[in-house]
Order: sequence, then structure tokens, then C-alpha cells
Amino acid sequence: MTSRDFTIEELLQHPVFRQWVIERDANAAAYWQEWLQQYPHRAADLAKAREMLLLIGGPSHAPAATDAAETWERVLQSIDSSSRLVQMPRNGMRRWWSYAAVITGILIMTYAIYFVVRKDTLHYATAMGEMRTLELPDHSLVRLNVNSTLRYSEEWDNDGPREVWLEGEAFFTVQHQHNNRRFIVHTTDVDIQVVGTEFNVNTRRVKTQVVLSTGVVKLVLNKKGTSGTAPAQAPITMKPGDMVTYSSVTEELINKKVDPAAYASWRTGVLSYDETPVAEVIRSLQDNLGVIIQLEDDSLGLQTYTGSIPTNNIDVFFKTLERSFNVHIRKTGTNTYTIVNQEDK
Amino acid sequence: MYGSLDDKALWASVMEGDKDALAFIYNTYFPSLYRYGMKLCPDSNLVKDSIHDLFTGIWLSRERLSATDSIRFYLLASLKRRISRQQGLLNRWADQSVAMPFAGSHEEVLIGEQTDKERKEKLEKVINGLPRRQREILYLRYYEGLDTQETAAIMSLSVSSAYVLLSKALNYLKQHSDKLICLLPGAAGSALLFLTYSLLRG
Repeated sequence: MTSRDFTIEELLQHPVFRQWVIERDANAAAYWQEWLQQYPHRAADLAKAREMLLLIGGPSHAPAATDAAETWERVLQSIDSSSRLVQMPRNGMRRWWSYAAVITGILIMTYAIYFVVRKDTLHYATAMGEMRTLELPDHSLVRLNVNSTLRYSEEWDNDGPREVWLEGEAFFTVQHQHNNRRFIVHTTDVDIQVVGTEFNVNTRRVKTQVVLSTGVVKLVLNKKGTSGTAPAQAPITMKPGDMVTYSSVTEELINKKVDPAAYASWRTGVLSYDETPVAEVIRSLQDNLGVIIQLEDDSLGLQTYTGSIPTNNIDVFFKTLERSFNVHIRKTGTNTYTIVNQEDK
Repeated sequence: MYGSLDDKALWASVMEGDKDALAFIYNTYFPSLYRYGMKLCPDSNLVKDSIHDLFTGIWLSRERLSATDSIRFYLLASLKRRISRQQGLLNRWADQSVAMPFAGSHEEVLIGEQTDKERKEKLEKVINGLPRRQREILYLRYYEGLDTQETAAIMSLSVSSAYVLLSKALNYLKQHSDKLICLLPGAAGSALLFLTYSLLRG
């Protein structure tokens, strides 16, 4: 076991420290006992960090012994008794039951019709390290990044909108059609509506990020909890260079001007960053290369990084970090690295 | 068997319709969710209802879920959103946390097994001296162990503001807990005492 001389912040950030203090895990306790033998003069700091963590936790509102089981029982009942997409009954919501019944009926009908008329769905998925270019029935092109999935119907009729469903990241080059037929990319968070344009979509990390290169895009936000049919607010119109990020989980919307080329550079096997926080670069490397990088000192995550990293040579990134921030990169597994401060290697 | 899966794989099992995987997630995170929920709104029934809605919702919309590699983050963020909505205080697009209380320690603070009265009062003073947002950010970052990005997202902060707020709160706490350590009987030896005590418990 390699242990080191943690600061109080580092102790607080240490998962094993949390296990010891909060979960009272025996193995974790043994770990800190051993650590203390190595750094006996840090006993007071260890106690202080523990004290602070308990203080941060505040008064513990422990659930009653039966709370967890009872609530789970209710979850199971609700799951079993409710049809898909129907709002859960809740105190004060009973009068909605009759509406719910009607809606259920309609939904079941719609569902049945959907199964009768639907066409086969094509499903493309890429693994880590694999990229793929797909040509859609309308000759639009999709460059699918690693670890991503695209779905769409095998045949497209000539009148309805062209629709695809994306998870992961892809760059779209959409062909304009004479009748201005809409093209829609669906993600968990947004519907992206275009006529003919180029844009990048990234749905990783519980949010969707759209970066527009050329043309115009209309963005419709998916609000969860508004039962899907409620009219959302007016769509957002994006112009080239706009980046919009939206998460339907946190309902957080961010709008920014960026260099679209930087967000599409992964297509050519290069990841570009411009004044990007190191923490964000690290997440991007995890998404794109499957490498996991841990920071021993969180504050490095706030520093910014500007430069290009070839997807086959992550060392470029490590070298820059080592040069600029006085840190040392330690390889801890096939695809895992830890960035430690130079002083205490 | 689910214990060996990483978050991404575990979540994928739920998306594919594995109810046992959902049960595993529920059992793993119920205490955390309850604890955090009670901090947002100290109403046990409302918190339990929200957790019920959260898990029922996950299951019923599992095919439309987005992949996640941090289940803890996903659940805590969703729970906060549900509780805010329940309270009818969620003002969309505005600072959604303005009206959210973050319950401090007006009740008892349990510091390990040391529940000496005077000490307890001093501790309460320390933590209550922090603004609500700072208490919440410390809690999410250190007690729940979310990373700074996730913490920022839940609190609707930019990552850099989250860093600033966090270091401010931590500095305050560090300064004041210096005084706390002095309150302990026999300051130097006490740390070891603490450790051995909890080791024995462990």
C-alpha cells in the first residue's frame, strides 16, 4: 500500500476516509491505523479532519428502521399497478385518477397503433476506440464518436420529419431538402430540429450539449415531470458558434459562444481544448479514450488547459501538465493514472 | 453480484429492465437520499414520497433514461429537483435554490460519541455560522463525496464558483475547528483516543 502525507483537504476528499468516518468500515479503519503508524505526528490532523466531516454531516436524520423497506414496498406496488407513462398517484393527487384512466386508454391505443405501423429500427453502436460514419436514407452523414449509439427507422417517408435518436456523441452533416423537411435529433434532454446544417451533439454526463457549426438549429428542451405533453417553452434558436447545454435532470441551461471546430475535432482523431478546465479535459478523455485520471489535489481541476491531444497519444497532455503545474503523472493501471504533486512523489 | 459492477454497467442493467439492479441501487442509496432529503426539507413523509416517486419514475421511464457514470449524482440531483417542485418553490430558470432551506443543526449534533453539552453548543454555533449554501456545498462535496463538477451541477453553480464557495466554507470550518480541537480533553492525546475508540467499534 502506498500511503502519503495527506493534507486535511485531501483527507476529506479521500473515499476511504469517508468510509471510516461515516460508514465506520472496519477495513477503512485498519487503513488509517496503518497510516497513522507511518505518520504519527499527523494524529491531531486526522482527528480534526474527522471532526470536520462529522460537523459537515450535521445532525443525522437517520431513517427509521422500517422506512427503507416500507418505501421500497410502495415503489414495487406503484411499478406493478401503473401502466407506463402514467403519473404516480400521491397525496392530493387522487382526483387525477379519472384523467389518468382516460390517458392510459389513449396511450394503450397509441401504443398498439405504433406497433402496427412502425417500421424496423436500425441500431448502430460503437465501442470504446471505435468511430463510425453512417449515411442516413436522405444522404445526411453522421460521424458517430466512440461509445455512442444512434437509432433510426429503416425507411423514411417523404413527408414526415427525418428522426434519429442519439446517446453519446456525434457530428451531423444534414442535407437540406427541397420541401424544407425537418431533421430531428432526439436525446434525453432535448430535441434538435434543423433543416440543413452541421452541428455536434454530446449527450454524455447526464446532459446534452449542442454546438452549431453552420446554419440554424431549433432546440426544444425536454422537461421531465411536465408529463411530456405539456407545452414546453418556445424553442431556442441557435446560430453558428453557439453552444447550448441542457440537462433535464437538473433543468440547468447554459448558453455560450465557442469555437465550433474545437468541439468537432474528435472526428479527426484530435481532441482540442481552449482554456478548458483541467477537470473537464479529464472527463472528456474518459469519454473519448476510456482512460481514468484521478487528481490527488482537486484544485488542479480548476486550472485551464489549451492545446490539442491526439487520441492515440495522451502523453502530450501529461507532458504539458507536468511542465506547467509542477505535478507528476503516475500510471496506476492499464487505463488509470493519478496526478500527484511533484513534492511528494 | 451487483456490487462488482461499476455505476455505468449497473445503470445499464436497470435500463435493460433488471428490477433486482434497481433494488440494489435503492438499498445502496436510500440512507444517503433520505439524509440529504431531510436536509432540504425536514419532513419525513415528503422525503419518503419523493424517494418513492424517484424510483418509480426511474423504472417506468427506464428505456428513456440517459446513461450515467455517477448514480449517486443522478439520484441526489433528481431528488433535489423533486423536493423543490413538491415545495412549489422551484422557480425555473431562476436561482432555484434561493428558497430552499438547508437545515442546519438546530437539533443535536452528534460528534462521534462525545456528546458533552457545552461542546455541542459550540459546534452548533460553528456550523450555523455558515450560510446555508456553504453548508450544502460542504455536505455534497465531502459528506456525499460527489466531485466538484457534480456538486456544482446540483447547486446550479459554475464549476469555478463552486471551487470558490467550497474553499471559503472549508477555510471557515478549518479555522473554527481549531478551537474545537482545543475543547477536547488533553488535546494531543485525544486524536489517538478517537481513533482507537472508533477502531474498537469498527
